[in-house]
Parts: sequence; C-alpha cells; structure tokens
Amino acid sequence: MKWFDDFFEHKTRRVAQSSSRRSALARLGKIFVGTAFVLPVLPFDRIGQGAHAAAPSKANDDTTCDYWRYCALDGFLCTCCGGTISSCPPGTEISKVTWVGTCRNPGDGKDYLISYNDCCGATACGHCGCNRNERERPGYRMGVHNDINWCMANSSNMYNCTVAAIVGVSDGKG
Amino acid sequence: MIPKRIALLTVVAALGGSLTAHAELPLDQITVARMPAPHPYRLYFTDVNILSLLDGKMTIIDGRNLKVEGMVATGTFGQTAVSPDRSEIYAVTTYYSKGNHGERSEEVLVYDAATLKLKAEIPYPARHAQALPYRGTMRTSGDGRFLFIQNATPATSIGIVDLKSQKLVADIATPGCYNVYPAQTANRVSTLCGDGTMLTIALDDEGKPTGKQKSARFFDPDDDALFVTAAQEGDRYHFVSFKGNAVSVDLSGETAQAGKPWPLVSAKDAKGGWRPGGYQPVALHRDSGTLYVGMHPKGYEGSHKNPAHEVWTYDFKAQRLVARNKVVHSTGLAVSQGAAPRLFAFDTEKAQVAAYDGTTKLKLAGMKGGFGFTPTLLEAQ
Repeated sequence: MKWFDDFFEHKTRRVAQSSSRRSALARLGKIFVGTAFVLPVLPFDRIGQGAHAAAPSKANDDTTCDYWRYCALDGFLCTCCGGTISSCPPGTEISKVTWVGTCRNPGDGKDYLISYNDCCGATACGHCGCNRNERERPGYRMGVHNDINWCMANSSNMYNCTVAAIVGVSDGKG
Repeated sequence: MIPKRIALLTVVAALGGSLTAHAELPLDQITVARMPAPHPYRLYFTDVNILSLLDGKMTIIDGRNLKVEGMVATGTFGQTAVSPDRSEIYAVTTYYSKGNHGERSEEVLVYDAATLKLKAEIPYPARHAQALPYRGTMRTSGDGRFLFIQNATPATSIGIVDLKSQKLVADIATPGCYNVYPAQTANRVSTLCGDGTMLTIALDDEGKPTGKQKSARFFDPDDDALFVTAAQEGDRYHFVSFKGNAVSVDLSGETAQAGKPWPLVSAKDAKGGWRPGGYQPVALHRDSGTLYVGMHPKGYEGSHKNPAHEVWTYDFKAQRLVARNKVVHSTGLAVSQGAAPRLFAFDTEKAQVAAYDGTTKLKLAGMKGGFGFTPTLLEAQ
C-alpha cells in the first residue's frame, strides 16, 4: 500500500497546486478517465468485502439511495434536484475536486470507479439525502472521504447535490 | 398609532398615579441575559446545518435539564473548539461578501463564553477544512495559547493561530494526514495518517514548528481503519476502529507511541456483528476510567457511520466489558467529568441529545431534539 499512499499524497497536493492536472491523469493506466477533474485512484481488489446488497429494483432506481452507484455517496442526490446521475442541476457548477467510490453493478457484476462530484454554487438541495459509506475512510484517506465539502475548491463553496459518474471499470485482474 | 393601553399607562405614569385598585403586572425592562455560572453538565453542540450551510451554530445546553443556555453563530462550515478553561469559544469559518457568493473571506471567531459576545475576529487564509465538524478539526493547545486548525484544499495542512498575538504563525503541510491531536503537557500537535501512523509536530514557544516525527505504523486503514474522533486523557488518546478494536496512543514524547490494541468485542459477543459507529463513537470518564463506546449490530464494510443501538461500557484499565445498555439511536457520545457522571448520546438526524445516568446500568434521564438541524460534534464541560 506504500505505492498508494505516496501516489495519493502526491496527487492531493497536485489538486491544490498544479495547473496541469491532465498530465497526472494520463498516468493512471488501468483506469479510463472520463472527466477533466483529478481523481484519486482506489485499488479495485478491495471489492466484495461484505458489500451491502440492495434489493434489485431499488438498486436500479437512481432516485433512491439504494441505487448501486451510490455505495459511498453522502449528500443529496442530483437526480432529485433537477440534474441527472451524471449532470449537475441548472445554475450550478461541477466541483473541481471530488471523492470516489468503487461500486459493483448488479446488472453485469462488474466493479466500477464512481466519481462523486458535488454540484456547487446554489443553495442546498434538501431532497433525497443519502449516506452510504462502502470503502469510505476518514480524512487521512482524503480521496475516499465524504464528510467534507467537495465544493471547497470552487469559486462558490455552497453545496447543492452530488452526481455519481462512472469514470472507470475494473480490468478484472483484481 | 399608540395602542390605547400603552397610552393609558403613559398617562397614569405621568400623573404619578398607581394602579393599586386594579393590580397589574409591572412593566418589564428588556435586558440581555448573562450565561449561568459554569457547571460540569454544560454541553457544546455544533451544527454545520447542512440544509442551510450559511448559518451554522453551536448550541450551549444545560445537560441537567436539556434546556438551551445560549448559542453562537458559526458561519459556513464552521469548525469549533472551546478553550481548556472554558472561558472562550472558537469557530473557524467561511463568509462570502454576498451571502452565498462574492469574495470569500475566512476568519477565526472568538466568543466570550460568559456573555457569548464576539470579542475578536482573527483573519485566516481560505483553507480551513469545510468538513462536518468533528472533535479534532480544530483544537486548542494543551495550555490554550494556540489554535490548531485542520486545513484541506484538499491538500491537508495544520494552521497554527497564536491567540495571544491573534495571528496565524505557521501552516504545516501534513500530506495524507487528518485531524489534530494536541499533547496536554507539551507544545506539540499530532495528526493521524493514511499510512497507519501518527505524525507529531514539535513547536517552539511562538508556535513555529521545530521538528516532525512519524510513529511506527500501528493501524491498517484498509482492513480496520481508526475513527479519527478519540477520547483524550492527558497526553493519551484512546481510539476505536471500524471493526471494534481499541488502541491508545501516547503523545507525551516527540514520537507518538501506540499501545497494544485490544478487542472491544470478545468471541462471545462477536455474534451479532457488533461494531463501533457514528461520528463520535467513544467517550471516557477519566476519574473512574470508564470507557463508553457506541455500537451497532450487523456491521459490514461501510456501516461505520451507522448510529449506535447500544452503549458498551468498559473498565478501561482492565480492558474489560462491564455492561451493555440499549440506547436511543445515537451518532455520538460525550460524558461529563467529575463526580456523578452523566452520559450524553446525540443523534445527528434528530438533532437530539439523550441523557443517561449510571455506569453499569444506564438510565434514561431526559431526551430532547431540535438542537439545530444536523449537529455532529458534542463537547462536555
């Protein structure tokens, strides 16, 4: 895990200090990255340690907290706030920094890396509050920590809601 | 228009008359109350107010009857601490020039705990951790001279504010580490790190860093992470882990020394999958050495913020479970110190505090909700 620690420390500092974020992303290797924002990487081989399984119908409804992509989401669901699973509500901004989760899709049995970007600048949505914490860790693992405002680096830090975008898929090598 | 009744009273008063024939209540003079005298059951309950983030608050509660004694505003994502002598309350917070937008400014608010009046505002760089308030996102030094503030941009560092000169004197990069743990007897602050260690920063008399020392690795953040909120006993901090182990860390030296971990859950009690959970899962009554841990059943990876269904009470020195008590669901614990301890179990969703008396047999002594909206930090006097 030393590699991960060093990598992560390096990465978080880059978030704050670097203007060249894309070059760091290019080195992620195994992970396909579909966003312009820096994503700390979580090893996929930790999946399946007693994951909390939701009922199949709810696991496919993205307006309920049981939806599979929300396995480490703490906040208001953007799908209830005028946005979608991967788009922020009108009038908000996408957070510049984010935390991630690794969630298993019951549909294909694969593990996906999910970016929980906050949507910022408006007032708190207040609908569909959700608090799940699979593989979430305290702030000493900041990239997988969800008790902090990920609108912290935006021009307005006001938090509105959270999306859950797929940004990577396990290569199955675990 | 002046109401007739006030007009009449004014006339009567002007004539020097009295109303003895029809005795009525005396007229009030409106004043501002002072805080009651400090007592061991005073509680400081901090609420980031997720539904309206501009307006966080700390409510000060009399834990004997759960009545509000007063409150202070803590702004946006305000993190709070109380001075060791309980004479001052601090909040580090964010403001915008136009409410929710405009120019961002950050500062430390200093409140007089006897009057709850704002007595100082110390400028601070825009980087304090905009977190759910935890015990340890901001603390004072053991002697109360300095404030240690957790920063996150999300790169983490610890800001040190000299309360005497009212200035930021240092900002120390602490990559991969989070939450502050001041030593009680020395000018040092430590922080818990994602590689399973504790980093200790030594300071000079002016609060400037003079050295950094990392402890040996003593926990596994992947397999059995430690909750960052811990119970303090002098220079020692007592931690519990996601899977139910306890470990104490001694900060009296330049390098943190962890003790031997011990299980909170014996093989006999393991049935049911009990684990610690919530935002503040552990409290210690120092004189009696009684440790309280909030536990939830059927634990799994990701259940670490689940509210406690029971409080497990330990003889800390003997590392022995002495009682299990059902409690109302709670996300955190605090206990009053001194004689006749009272345990307080709070619930974030209901903004509720439940009070329990006794050590082995906990008896519900009172319960009240609505102290703000989403409080996550409860400090006892």
